[in-house]
Amino acid sequence: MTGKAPPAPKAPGVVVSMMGDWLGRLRSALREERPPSPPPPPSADGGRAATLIFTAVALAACLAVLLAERYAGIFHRHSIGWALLFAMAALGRFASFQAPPGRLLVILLGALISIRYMAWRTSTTLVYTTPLDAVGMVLLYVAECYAFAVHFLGMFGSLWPLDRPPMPLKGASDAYPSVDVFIPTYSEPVELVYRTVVAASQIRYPKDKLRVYVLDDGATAEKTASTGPGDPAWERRRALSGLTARLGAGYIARERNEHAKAGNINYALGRTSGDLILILDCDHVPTEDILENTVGYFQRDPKLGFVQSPHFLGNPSVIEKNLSHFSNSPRENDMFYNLIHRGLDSWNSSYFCGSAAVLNRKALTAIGGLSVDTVTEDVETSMRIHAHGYNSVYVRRPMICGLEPETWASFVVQKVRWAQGMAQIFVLKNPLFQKGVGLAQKLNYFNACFYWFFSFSRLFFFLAPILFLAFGMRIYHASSSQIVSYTLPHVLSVYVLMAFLYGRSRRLFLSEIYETTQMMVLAPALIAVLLRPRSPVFKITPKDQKVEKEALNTHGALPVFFILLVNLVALPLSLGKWFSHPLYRDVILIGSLWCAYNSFIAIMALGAFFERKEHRWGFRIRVREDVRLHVPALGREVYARMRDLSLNGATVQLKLPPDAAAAWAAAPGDAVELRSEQYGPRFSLHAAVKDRRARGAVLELGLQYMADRNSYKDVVRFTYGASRRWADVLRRRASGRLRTLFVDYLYFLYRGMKGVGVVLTHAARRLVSPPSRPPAPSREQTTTGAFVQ
Amino acid sequence: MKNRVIFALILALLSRSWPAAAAPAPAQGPKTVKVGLDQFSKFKTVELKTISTSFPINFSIPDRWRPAGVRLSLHYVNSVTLIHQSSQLTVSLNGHPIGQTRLDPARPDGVLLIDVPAGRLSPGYNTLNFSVAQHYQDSCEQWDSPNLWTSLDLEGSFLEMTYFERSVPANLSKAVDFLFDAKAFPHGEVHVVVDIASADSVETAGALAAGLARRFGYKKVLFTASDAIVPGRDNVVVGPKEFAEAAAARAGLTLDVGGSVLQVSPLPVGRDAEGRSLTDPTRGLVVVSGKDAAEVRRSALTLGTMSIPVPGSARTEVSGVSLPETAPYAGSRLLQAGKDYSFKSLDFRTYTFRKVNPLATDIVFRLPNDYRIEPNKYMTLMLNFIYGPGMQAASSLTVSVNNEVARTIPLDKMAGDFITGYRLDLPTYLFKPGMNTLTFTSYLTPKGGDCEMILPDSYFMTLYDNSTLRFPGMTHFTRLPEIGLFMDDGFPYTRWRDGRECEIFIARADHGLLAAAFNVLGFMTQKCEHALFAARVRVGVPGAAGPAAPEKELIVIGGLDSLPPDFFDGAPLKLGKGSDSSHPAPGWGESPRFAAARQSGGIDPDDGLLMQFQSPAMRGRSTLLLTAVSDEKVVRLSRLLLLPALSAQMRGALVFVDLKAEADNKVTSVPARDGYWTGKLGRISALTYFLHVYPYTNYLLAALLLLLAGLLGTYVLVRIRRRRLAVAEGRDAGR
Repeated sequence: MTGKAPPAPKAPGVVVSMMGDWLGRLRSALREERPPSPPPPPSADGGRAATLIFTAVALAACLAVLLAERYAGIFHRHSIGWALLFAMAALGRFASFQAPPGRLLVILLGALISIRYMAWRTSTTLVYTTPLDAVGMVLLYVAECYAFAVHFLGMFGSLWPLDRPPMPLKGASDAYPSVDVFIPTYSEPVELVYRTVVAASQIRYPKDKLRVYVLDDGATAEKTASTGPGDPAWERRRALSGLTARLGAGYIARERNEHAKAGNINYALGRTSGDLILILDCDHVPTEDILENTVGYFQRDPKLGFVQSPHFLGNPSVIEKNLSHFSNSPRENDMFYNLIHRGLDSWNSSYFCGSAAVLNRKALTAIGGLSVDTVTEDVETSMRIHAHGYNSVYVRRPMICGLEPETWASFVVQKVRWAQGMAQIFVLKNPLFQKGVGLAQKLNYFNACFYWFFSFSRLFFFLAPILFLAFGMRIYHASSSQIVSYTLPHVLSVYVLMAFLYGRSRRLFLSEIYETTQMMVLAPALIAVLLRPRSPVFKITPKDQKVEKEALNTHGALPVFFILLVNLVALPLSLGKWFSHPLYRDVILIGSLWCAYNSFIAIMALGAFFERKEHRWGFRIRVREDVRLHVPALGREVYARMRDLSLNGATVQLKLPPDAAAAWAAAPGDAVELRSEQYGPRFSLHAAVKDRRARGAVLELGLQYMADRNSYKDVVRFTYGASRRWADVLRRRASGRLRTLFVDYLYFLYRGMKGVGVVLTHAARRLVSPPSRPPAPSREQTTTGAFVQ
Repeated sequence: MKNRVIFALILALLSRSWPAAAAPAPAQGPKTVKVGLDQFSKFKTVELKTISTSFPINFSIPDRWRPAGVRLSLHYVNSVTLIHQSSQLTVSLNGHPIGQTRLDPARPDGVLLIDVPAGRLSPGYNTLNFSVAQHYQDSCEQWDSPNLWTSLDLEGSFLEMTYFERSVPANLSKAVDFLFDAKAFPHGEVHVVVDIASADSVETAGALAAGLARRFGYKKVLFTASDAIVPGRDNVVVGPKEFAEAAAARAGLTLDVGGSVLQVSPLPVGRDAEGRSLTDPTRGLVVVSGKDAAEVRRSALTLGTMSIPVPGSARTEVSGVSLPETAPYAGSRLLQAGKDYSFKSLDFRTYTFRKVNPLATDIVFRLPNDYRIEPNKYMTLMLNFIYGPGMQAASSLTVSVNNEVARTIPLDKMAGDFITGYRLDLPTYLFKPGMNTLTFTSYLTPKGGDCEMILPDSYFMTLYDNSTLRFPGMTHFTRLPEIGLFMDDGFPYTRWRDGRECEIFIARADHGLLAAAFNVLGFMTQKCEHALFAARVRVGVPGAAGPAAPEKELIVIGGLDSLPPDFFDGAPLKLGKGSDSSHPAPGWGESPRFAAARQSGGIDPDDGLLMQFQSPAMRGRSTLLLTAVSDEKVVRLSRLLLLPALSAQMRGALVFVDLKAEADNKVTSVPARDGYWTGKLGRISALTYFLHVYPYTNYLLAALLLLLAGLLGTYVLVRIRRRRLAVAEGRDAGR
């Protein structure tokens, strides 16, 4: 409490007037999130009291609905559930409800529907029949409780995402903190590292304050000791040390490969002295302004532990690629970086994601360097930084461009590491019991770990209807009428709320597909962690694997195919049960619909297992910007629209005036000069026409840069240097209109069935002509490789 | 004269135990009664299928009959495809064949007449068994061919029984069984002699009527009442010493009541010219008396409960009686929640299904009529059974609830099996409050081809009576008015099985109305299978004009002219004030809708009326009104309640019964327009009451709270947000 005397009782008129004042203040606060003048320091006790009142009132609302419903007839029960659902769905369609208080109201409605369901589920449907039934019933109930908890924690995290702009540097440049850029590498191609080092060395920051280091774990003394020149480790050391020397960067290789990436960084920490550390994965190419946009936060908050920025990934994930779902739609990680992480930031719970983050050396020193107890050292480290009283900031502007794993195998390696690491934190360092971490931070970290157990609940949701339809196990004791009253509104509310919270950053059913494809892989990995929490070792995500030949990923597809099969078998069984058990027809109908839904999800997921060939090494990123082409044959510039770009070249569209069209055929091999200044400095890159396509009056030219060692830096700078370009790309992806659940469902069903069709065709072909042994994944040589040496 | 003296001496010797010497009325000749076989069965026709099957019928012979002979007239129709030489119908009585006939395809419609010797009949219950052996070809025949059938027309078949009436035993315990016999045919009749001016006597007579009705089991019993002994019927005199002695004296019997007394004697029918008492030996007089009201009640309760052959004399003096403790919802075959009941305790005996088409068997039990059947609960059956070898996998035991198939157990082991504790969970929504029937049907399918020899007797399945059932716990809470519940087991008057919550008012001090009250008491007693000893019968109309309405469940019996207009204030039909009435309006919606009308004219003089409505004395309590334009019609109405075919049609809040003639009786039931709840939900808090009565207000409150929570939450978030931004932007960095 503040120690103020309790206010005297007010007359009703005064109370109304106070309410009006309060609402007015609330309105002004919402209109201007950041008031021009510093507000009076809020009282912590006052905030706590308001939180308690809010919680009490919200609980009272829930209680009011639940209590009234106890005495309501079936019509009322139907009405309450569906009225809440429709209210939530209708309000959520308004853009103005994306911000509080509307946003909070929609979330509260969703929470109320789910609480209502769980209250009913717990009090009414847990009926003991037989021991076997009871086991199934408890497992299903636990799975639902898990989903309920994750749903609620997700809602909490996403209450009001914070959107921070880049923070400009302040003061004279000699007062800027010094920055060390760490680029840890292990086995990635040298040319991949080269590109990143080239970009890092071009970051705009006072040169005396910036030092770039390649932390090479692929050529440690341990690796080179028993071999000699000519060995890959020796060659790697020679190449990387040479290129870093040439680019003015540092090269650090330690004695032994201890504690993987975290150990590598900790080793470097002891040999460097920058005030701040920018950590970049070796395939994460930074923009020029990454420090200009982030270091300002450290200048203003001495207790700032780290600033995290999004991972902008140029290529689609393997699942998006296989489903051909990557045109202008949000990518897999867009939801995390566009919404979830902003929500975490609002609770001071943003966490370090391993790369694209600037860390405060003081904070790292205070916690003794990066944590090494789990394979997700980044999350563990940020939790410890928070526990030591440091803050975190998440800047939404993408300032690196990286690559998604390009094969199913590398995708799995990455996901298994994340899942195992999070499970390790859950078991070894459960956030709920960490000292120094605030309540909201505990909940958010707990959610980050707990989420990864989805494979168990999802697996059981897939099998639950079969237990009833095929084996007659009674694991869900409810009549069809109750299901209509409680279960359906709850299930639909989860989807509606997901659409409301995340619909602009991810197609709804994409999450279903992701979780379905991963569940059978992650489940055994998680069990291994639960049995031996310290057993997992850090496995680096392979960065250079390519799909050389289109093929069905049998290893991944088989479990999902099995699930599809048992669900499909259960459907005719349910038909038999329909006639043999007339008393259970309502439950049989619901079980069958559940089975059908599971089958459709499995079909969608199966489509993701047909691995499609990657046609080019440097994946082209779709852009939309105005450029100019200087055509020597014409002796003048023509305006063009750049449609995509990569490190190797770009695609431009142009409409030649009649006289120019007559004078220049734009034949392959013709030299041109690509000039651009939309995102800052003026670029002028020499290129040659690689191919041309005429679409009516519009000419589309594929250009390949004619780069040499010196101009390569310009190509990298042009391609990766502008963070605003990546921000524009993300904005365009997220600006797609919201689709309804049904349309989204049909979309992915179509994609999935198309994928299954391809799978079946492929299988038929294999039956006719058995394949030769598929070539091992390999790397393609690129033009950039020539500049490494 | 000499012969008359000798005869009188012999009679005196025979009846030396009678309390007073009496001369019997002249002996009567044999009597004959003809009864349709459908009176002993729930079926009008029975079809006997397959190569061998049978159908039993049980009939009873009252103790007071000495059978002289029985003639059976059996009408049957057989299939025209049967083989005359090898198809036959056999009738057995108590296991002994008494007649048979070939089933002639040339004359498929036949009547079998059998004279049954009296010696074949057993006292009490007898079983007639009709069995057929029928074939449609000599070999390789299909045992269940549709060609194999014989139909018994029970409605067109008769038992014609000739009997002499026995004399009433001179032994009180035997005489009670003799007079109030559950085997009485076609129904029981009792005349109660009571002083209607005495409130105590009326109340005790009510308890006595309940006790006597219980003695009759399920046999309908008609009561009459007066203040004098009437000839030709069994009379029960109930009242204090003075009244009983005066009533006996008027009939020619000298009675000396020294204390709480029970006495039986042949019915005195007056005195002869010489002043000697004349008696009817085939009718009895039971005296239930004492020096004061308490002694009379003691005697009445003793008469209602005595069940062993004690006393062996015609008279007994009762010095004390106590009844067993009872509890709400306790009673015969009335199931309580959470308790295991063996089938045996529900009158089910180990039953064997034999041959290929055995008869079904069932368990009839009762659930409390205010049982609130809740969803997602299950009744549990634990079955113990055995079945024989050699049956096809299609053989099964089917369990049906109220004629709806609920579960099927496959009997699919070729070698047969013995199974204990086979658990079946039946959803409770299959059951209903009141009477329920659990039917077990076994389909035994023999293994083998058409030409293989089949031994039907080797196919069997036995269900043991140590199998159990259990109902889950549920609350007692139901909506009234619902006369159907009263007709089912007397609810809500029988919630306590001794009737302590029941009070019956007769509108006027009239013996006819009192008999109607006894009929209603007897009806409730037989429905709930427990004598309502604690129910009270009183004279008057409860309310402003009469005695204060007690806070109990009320039944009011009386003609319309004796009911004040105010009495109808809460009634569904306000007869006292211009006949306000509600007419169900079909087609106005799914639930019953009503059109209100104010009409003149009252009710049809030939109609009886039952109405149920909330008691003016207490919320949740009920008043049931039996009325008609006159008291005589009310008495007739009370008798019609006892006809199962009519009472089964009575439901809702209002029932009109056409009283003209039994054959034309028509029942019109009207559903309740307004209702009230009764039951035991426990104490209801103000919050509960508010939520129950004003749900919409609560929804509005919830919506407002939700809105408020949204605003408050926003306020909290804004504060947190400001703090976060201030720290990050260095405006509050010191904090």
